[in-house]
Amino acid sequence: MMKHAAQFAPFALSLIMASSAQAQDPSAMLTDFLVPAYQQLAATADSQIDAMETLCQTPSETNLHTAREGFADLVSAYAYAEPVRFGPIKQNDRLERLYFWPDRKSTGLKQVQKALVGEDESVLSVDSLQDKSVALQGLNALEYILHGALADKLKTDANSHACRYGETIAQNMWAIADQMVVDLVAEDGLIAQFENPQERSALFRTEEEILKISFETFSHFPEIISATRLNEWAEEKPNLNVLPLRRAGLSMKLVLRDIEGVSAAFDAFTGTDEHEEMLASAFDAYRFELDNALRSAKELSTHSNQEILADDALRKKVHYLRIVLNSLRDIANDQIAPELGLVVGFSSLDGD
Amino acid sequence: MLRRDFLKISGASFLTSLAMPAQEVLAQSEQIFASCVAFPNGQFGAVLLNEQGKLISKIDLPARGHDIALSTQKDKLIVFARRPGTFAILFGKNGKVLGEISSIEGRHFYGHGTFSADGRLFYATENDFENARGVIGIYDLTAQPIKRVGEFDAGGVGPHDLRLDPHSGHLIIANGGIETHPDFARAKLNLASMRANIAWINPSTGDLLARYDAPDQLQKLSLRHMALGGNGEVWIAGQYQNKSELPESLLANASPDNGLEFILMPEDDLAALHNYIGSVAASGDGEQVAITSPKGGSAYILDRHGNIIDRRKQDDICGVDYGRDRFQFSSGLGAFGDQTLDDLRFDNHLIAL
Repeated sequence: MMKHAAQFAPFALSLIMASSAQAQDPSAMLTDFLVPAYQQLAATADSQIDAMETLCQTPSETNLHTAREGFADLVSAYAYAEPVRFGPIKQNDRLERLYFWPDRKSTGLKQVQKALVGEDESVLSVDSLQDKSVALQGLNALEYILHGALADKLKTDANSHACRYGETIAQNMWAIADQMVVDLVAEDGLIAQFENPQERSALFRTEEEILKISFETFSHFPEIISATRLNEWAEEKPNLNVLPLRRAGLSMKLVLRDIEGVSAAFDAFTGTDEHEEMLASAFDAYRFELDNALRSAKELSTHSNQEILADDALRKKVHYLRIVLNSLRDIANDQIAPELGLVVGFSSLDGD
Repeated sequence: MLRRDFLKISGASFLTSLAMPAQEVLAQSEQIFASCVAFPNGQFGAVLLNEQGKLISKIDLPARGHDIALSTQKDKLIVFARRPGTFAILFGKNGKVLGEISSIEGRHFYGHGTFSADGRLFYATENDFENARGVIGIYDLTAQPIKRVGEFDAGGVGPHDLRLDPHSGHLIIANGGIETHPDFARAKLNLASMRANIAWINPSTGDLLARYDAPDQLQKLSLRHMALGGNGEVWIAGQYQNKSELPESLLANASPDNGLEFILMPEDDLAALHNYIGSVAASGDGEQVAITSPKGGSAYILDRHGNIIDRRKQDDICGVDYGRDRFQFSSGLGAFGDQTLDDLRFDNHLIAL
């Protein structure tokens, strides 16, 4: 089923509007970054299924600890893959099924609590779970099961409803990640479409549009991190209870892995060939800020949210990180896009 | 609006209030347009210009604008901040600012609004973002300063464009269905469960008169922009929120009696819109409608039955309205009609005065 990245011959893009630009190979971002990222997510979800099964059958503090470590790995694998937000991840609300966030009104939490308290049987099979609210199906639901108010019962109650629900979520995430890989590498999958764009595609029809949709990862996603993962830190008195994955203590780990995903995707996008001087300079500027973001996020990820809140220097670091993330967006739009010959228009860039 | 009508409505003092170059431009003009723009220095504004792209007047804006509404009496305009902006500015055609509006706490504008029939009130689409509820804010333009005098429910989430039906006197609201909150910038918070609708509301009472939801197969179609034809036609243009597939349609006819009737375009043409219509405009006689897609770099003119009359390709094309005898288009790269202006980048919407 799986096709190795090396099987995909790179194709040279001839940009109509970019005679001076070094040709890019956007399919490398899929073959070298996205496919391995979702393979890793599938493998991590597979391990989490095992960890949850063990916990359900043999409840103990040790097995709960193992399941929680597996959850952290699952978050890590998801966050690494999520920067690329086009193609099959947009089908059937997969992105929201894997992780429903922002959840401003705690919709997910309320639904999960209701399912747990009522011991809803329909959340115990992947098929029926997939018919339910997206907020019940992914990381935020599993986080509450493993780290929420009732999590301690997982140490003692064998084959509990909550534990089996958690196992079903892991199965669901595995199914989505596995299908993602299939939809990327299939004969008519996204990689094949990149290599042979079709006039009737909803996503892209030309090589230039392929380049543009790939490029948008580096323009849009840093802003998404800032706006949906770090936004609360802009408040004078941040409310730690609304931070993503705060129960598991993974708020900043999520941000770090998001940025590491952007970094790896950017490496795949830019490739190793030499670029024309102005394009190389724009890529260098982006890489410089990306490294700044990585350094800051790495340091912040070693601290709890409470520690960051209590330390002015760390809060300033978060503020700095938000500035750098917005700077990445600007470098992408103002420096990289013109050198790639992309039309980043006033209206098409961010329409309304 | 033709120049003679423009001058007649604006009054003699209008001409003298313009600087000499603008007076000369006006003398040579057949048609006046207005649009929000970005200037070369990165600042934002709203401009009035003629069909040749020559500037008549302008105002500076504190941030990016979106749509401009012309009063029923055609003597005043209001320009709105782009969502989630909080300002709106009432101004005259000579660029004189007549009043400013700030959204109240807990609300922001969506970038669109419309004057009441007598020009005394203004209705604006607003987001009650803590409650994820769309509302229509009502503003008294005769008060100094302009006063918010009430509101009513928009009938859905994420109200965007709204128009006053000159025949019935009812407000027509395109509730885009997408929940946003300024804490999360422009992130869309409810894509999995979103549902757009078109609502007809009595502006005197706020009563919901009719409402039609997007059908199941178009659950992810955000119905956002609207154009009224001369014979009461209501055209609705949408933006599909699933980039991995083509929707059945992006354009509909709407009426309070028959609901939404979607226009089926040939698949190649639908694909060329890239799941996104940025603006829609109808001809004065109601016989034609134009739609633009900046993301697809394409625009279409259709007859009232949905048959394609003309296709055009242009990068970042978005603004469109019907001028004296044809549709005029503008782009975010400075294209305006047949010309390209070096010193202006046009925002999403263009209106003919």
